[in-house]
Amino acid sequence: MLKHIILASSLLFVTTGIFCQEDVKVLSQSEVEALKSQLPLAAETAYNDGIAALQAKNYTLAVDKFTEAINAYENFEKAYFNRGLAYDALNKNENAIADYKKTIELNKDNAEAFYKMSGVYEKLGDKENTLIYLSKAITASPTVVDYLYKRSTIYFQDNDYENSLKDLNEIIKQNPSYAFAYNDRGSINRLQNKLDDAIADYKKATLLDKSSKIAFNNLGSAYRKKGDYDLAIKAFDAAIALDKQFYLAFNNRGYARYEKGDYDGALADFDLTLAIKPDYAFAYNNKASVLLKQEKWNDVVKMCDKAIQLDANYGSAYYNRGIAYEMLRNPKQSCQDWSKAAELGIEAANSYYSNSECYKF
Amino acid sequence: MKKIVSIFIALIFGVISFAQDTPFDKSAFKEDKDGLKEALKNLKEGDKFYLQEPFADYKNAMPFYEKAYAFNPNNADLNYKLGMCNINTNFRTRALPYFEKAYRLNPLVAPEVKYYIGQGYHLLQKWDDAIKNYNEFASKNAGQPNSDPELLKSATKKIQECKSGKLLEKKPIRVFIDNMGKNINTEYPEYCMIMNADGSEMYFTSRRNTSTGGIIDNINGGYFEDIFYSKSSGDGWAPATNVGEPINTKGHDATVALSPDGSKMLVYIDDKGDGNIYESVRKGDAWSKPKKMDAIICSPYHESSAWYSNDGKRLYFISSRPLPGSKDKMEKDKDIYYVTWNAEKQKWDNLVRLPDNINTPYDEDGLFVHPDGKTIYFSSRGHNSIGGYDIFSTELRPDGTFSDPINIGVPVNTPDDDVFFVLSASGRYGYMTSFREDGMGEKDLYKITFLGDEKPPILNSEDILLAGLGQVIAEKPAEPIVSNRRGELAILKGTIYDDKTKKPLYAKIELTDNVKGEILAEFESDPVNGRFLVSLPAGKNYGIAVKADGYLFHSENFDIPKGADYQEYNKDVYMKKIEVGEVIVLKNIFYDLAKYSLRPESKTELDRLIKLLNDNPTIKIQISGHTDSRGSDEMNKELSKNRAKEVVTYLIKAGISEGRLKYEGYGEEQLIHSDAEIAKLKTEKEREAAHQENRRTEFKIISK
Repeated sequence: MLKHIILASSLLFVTTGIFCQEDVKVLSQSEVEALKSQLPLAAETAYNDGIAALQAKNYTLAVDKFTEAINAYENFEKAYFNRGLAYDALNKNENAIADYKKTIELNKDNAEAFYKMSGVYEKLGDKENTLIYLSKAITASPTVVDYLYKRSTIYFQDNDYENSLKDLNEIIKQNPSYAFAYNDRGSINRLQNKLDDAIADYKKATLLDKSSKIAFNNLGSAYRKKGDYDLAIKAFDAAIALDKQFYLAFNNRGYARYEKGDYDGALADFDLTLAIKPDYAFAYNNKASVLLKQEKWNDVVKMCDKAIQLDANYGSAYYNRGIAYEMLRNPKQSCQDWSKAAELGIEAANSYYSNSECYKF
Repeated sequence: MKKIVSIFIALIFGVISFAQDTPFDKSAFKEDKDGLKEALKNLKEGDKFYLQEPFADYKNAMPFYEKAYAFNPNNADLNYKLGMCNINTNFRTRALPYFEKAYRLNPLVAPEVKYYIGQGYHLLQKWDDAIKNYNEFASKNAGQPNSDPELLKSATKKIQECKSGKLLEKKPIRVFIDNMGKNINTEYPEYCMIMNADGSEMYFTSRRNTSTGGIIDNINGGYFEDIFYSKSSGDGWAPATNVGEPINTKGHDATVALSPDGSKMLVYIDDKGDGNIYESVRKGDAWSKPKKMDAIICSPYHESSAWYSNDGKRLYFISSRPLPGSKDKMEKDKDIYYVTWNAEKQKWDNLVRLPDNINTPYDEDGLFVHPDGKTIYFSSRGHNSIGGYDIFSTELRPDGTFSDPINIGVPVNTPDDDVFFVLSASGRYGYMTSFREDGMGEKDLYKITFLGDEKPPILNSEDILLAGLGQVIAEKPAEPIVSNRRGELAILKGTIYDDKTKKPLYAKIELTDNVKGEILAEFESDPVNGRFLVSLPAGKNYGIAVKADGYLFHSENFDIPKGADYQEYNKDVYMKKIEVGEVIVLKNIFYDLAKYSLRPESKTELDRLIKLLNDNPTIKIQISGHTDSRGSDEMNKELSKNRAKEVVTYLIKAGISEGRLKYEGYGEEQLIHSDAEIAKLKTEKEREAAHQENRRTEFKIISK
């Protein structure tokens, strides 16, 4: 009786998706009985031991136990799959792929195996195969929105916003309360400068998930980009209310306050950011930006120095320090900074360098 | 020092004591008869200079009046006279308290006192107070039988100047203004700085005690003018030296202009009051004796300023001659004219007066033509001047018209005279003549650093864009769009050498607009040191051919798009003799991307090659095509071969015998810059330039 319970629960474990939003799929009692009837006892025992090891994160033992189970029953699909998981956890990627492939060979509709295999390829940096197997998982189970969501993020990270958007739209069609999809679609719209659409999506995400500090923060950033600074600040306030340690929202609120012309407020926010995350170079640089507006040139240099100390390849900090040095009548130093900033990809610094006859220094 | 303190105390005392107008007579100074006697003597001495004919000598009157003032600061007439002395000398901004006190002591001290109070405020840029006093002067004096109509007219203009000042002051330009220091300025007057296009050399006029002959001009006092020279040294200027003969003489010799490459200088010579422009030419470090410019420029009237256009084809100048075609032979206000170089007749020709949107009924002077080929800076007392001469700019449009002048703004322009402005090719540094109380004495040269539009800071933000991943992603920072309105051009400079002997070489440099296929200008290198400098205004694809007798031509290409940042290219050119084995890169041969058909912009370069082959009918050449390392080896080889073949086909069609021509495609086999070298370059721009150099068409002399 005990063994049977473990088997049932282990099968339950197998079919659990990696994303928390989906309901767990449980095999029916009849499916468990059918499987049991084919399994030799040794295979069942080893399998259940493997599941226990897997749950205990003892992956090496899990591999051994699933191997034992496979040896006892060579077409044991679940054992291949779970051994694949164990190999995956041990970063034995080739073995994991082989086991997932075997699983698929035994059951071509095993969407989860496709999905897990795509995960290994993602880990290996093989984008092409990641997308191939994700797509196969989606074909096998078109209604599992988690697969679609995963693929949308892969597309997004590859800057393929068009395909990412297609998947997100499909998710929203299938599950209109999927808050993540609204957030991510908002991000695509924002990157494509469709700020009104971005704001609408982020708003929807915050309505669906009132505890999403991420969505509130993104909403604030979209408002800032649009120039609605008061609304931006309000959204960042909401994000901060959800997490008092959310340094990104403090930094972004400071940025919005800067844009609004509230330099003291901006400085206070950047200080709060640094109180939470003292090694955050962006906050030092942003503080320097406010000080530039306040014409406190020496303080700008100090702040930029700190930012550069934290990140020696921080283009904006070199750029800003260059401006301060120019105003401090130190053209040689400002030229050096603009040169470095240009090297780090700040185009405007390149122009300042050329137009200020910096080549003379 | 004591004197200044006592005058200051007296002024203050005068303000707070509500003193009455106190005459210099015994009734007021019963107890100090000796003092009164001395004061009266000083008044008398001062009056000698003050009332001198035909012109008052305010400078020499002032010390006597100051002594009298120390004795009696409450005399309205003396206060007025001291105001006049200050406002007509280098101490203009100190005049206001004297005029105000004179008026307080006696509102009837002089009918024009309110005018001068207005001017005192004007000079201090207190626009509203100035307008109020000018208006009061005008309303009191308008229609009065003894009122001065010129002064009334002037008050109206000055009110307008104050209004312009108020407007311009709202949007000051961002500059640093610095005295050029002791290497350049002295206690004597320095003015009218001129410089070459890259700002490496400058000349200016000074009336210092080391002027040639050390003689003082009795007419206007001070040493005779001489021209001085200085060279840029790092971030400053080397100590100035007298350029000596034959430019400097014992008389007045003053700077007017320098050609962009520094090979020609225009000099002002007084010519017994006529005032004319002379030209001197440099070979190596030696200047020729200045030669009077053509009569079309040097009229019997006054010519005071001039400047060459960047291509050397025009000469802009200032003249006070009567309007062209006018029967009136009277000298008029100074206007801007230009003449065009007639290459056929080898003289300046075709006099044109700039239109009335540039020339005003007031004086224009102090010309400077920027090497960008379109912007002309000049000083004017008209337009929206904020007082005296202000510096303006106008643009020569492609259709030949000139844009309405723009006041270059405060704080460069002041209510006083602002003249002799020059600007570096980059637009970063300007130089002007100014009298400032913190200067080194008299007029000094000042450097203006143009900071451009405010440089906005760059802030950074990050977000978690994907809700399902915790990954923090930085937003691409918003970068400002940078425009360099004062320096949209490139400067190409270097030295031309013989490739074998490495000796400097005289050569002609032909500048072509590749798109239009027309020759824009021709320059020459210095015959002594081989140096050259060419300015390349933005907006064109330039083909540059360096040609010297007995040598293969050398070609360069510079694409300077509109809105480009300022660039300076240092390029020494090594000219190759027409000998077997010599290779020349044809930098002005263009193909469409990944295609082999020749673009029309290639015509000028190909025609140059045809001329070379026709001039040297026995030489045989091989045309070689090369690509960069991107793309497959096979495709690159094929493309380069087809491109070389296309050039050969063009030459055959132009009548060159097929037997003299070979072609080959090398693809990426003979890169100038290897991939490893390119990878080490810092910026994408540099890397792309290196790939560009790898993509080339060459010709090689294979037999002679």
